[in-house]
Amino acid sequence: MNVIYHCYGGTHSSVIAAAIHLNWLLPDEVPNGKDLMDIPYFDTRSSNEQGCITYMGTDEINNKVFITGRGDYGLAMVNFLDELSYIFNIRGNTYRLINLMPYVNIKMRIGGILSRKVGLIGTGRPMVLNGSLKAFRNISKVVQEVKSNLEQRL
Amino acid sequence: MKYIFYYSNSLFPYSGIVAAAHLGALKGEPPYIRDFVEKFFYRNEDSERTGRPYYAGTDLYNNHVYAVWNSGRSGMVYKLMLSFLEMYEIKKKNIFLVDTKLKDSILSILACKAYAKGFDRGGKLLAERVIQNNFSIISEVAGKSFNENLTKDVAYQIMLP
Repeated sequence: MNVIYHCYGGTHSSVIAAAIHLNWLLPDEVPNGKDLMDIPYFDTRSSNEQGCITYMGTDEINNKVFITGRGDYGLAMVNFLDELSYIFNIRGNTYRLINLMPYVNIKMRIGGILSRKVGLIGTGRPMVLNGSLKAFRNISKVVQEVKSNLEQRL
Repeated sequence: MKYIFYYSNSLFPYSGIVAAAHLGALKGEPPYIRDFVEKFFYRNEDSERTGRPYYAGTDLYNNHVYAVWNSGRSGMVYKLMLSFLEMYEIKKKNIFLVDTKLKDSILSILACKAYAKGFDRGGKLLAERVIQNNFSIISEVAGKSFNENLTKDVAYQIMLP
């Protein structure tokens, strides 16, 4: 199974979710800012990279974990990939899209825009880090649900 | 057999119209509007169709022609498609992605909004004008993607408008 975590820019919530999924971060323990900054792609991808489905790693039960940013293209992306899989005979149950936008708080949004779009990293990054730490438990909960669903499929 | 995907970063279904032109639906003199254009427009409640590639048909050379349009970040469709196919190790040799590079104008946005709100007559008039204004580009893009112009060379694809 390919698990694709997606959010607006593909550089904050989806990256955290992938890190939890791959056990790079403990699910029950809120990390610190440095732990988040150590995750590959965290607050580093530019808006030009939206749409790239990026491989992050393979979990303990052999699911491949990917991240992507899809801007405002949310529902359209789901429909687009669904149709593509039909065209190219990819079985729909071989990938799973997990939308993390409902768990993105206002600090992550504003900080993300400042850091990634406007280029004000000094102002945006602390804000996005603070927001990410606050959102951590909710993101972790989603990942745990995804992982337990995947385990049940075995 | 090739897969040709026309895409446009627009609300207006430019790529759908280019795909239709590729299949010979837009021949002749103005007015260029035909009833087929209406099927490219969505009602507001028709969100299930948003972003879904539209299958325009099969051309004379047995190539499958698709169109996808959506306003969003430029290149999103291209990157999503390539990375998704890469994920499944699907060979891209016979897949052609053609950016129509047509952008929305006030008229084209109004045409979409009119259809979305159910004002089909107004939408059709506006769409007709948009197609007339862009007819030369539409036919040029479609013409460059006919079978005899397609090569397996990626560099050629970049040259396409």
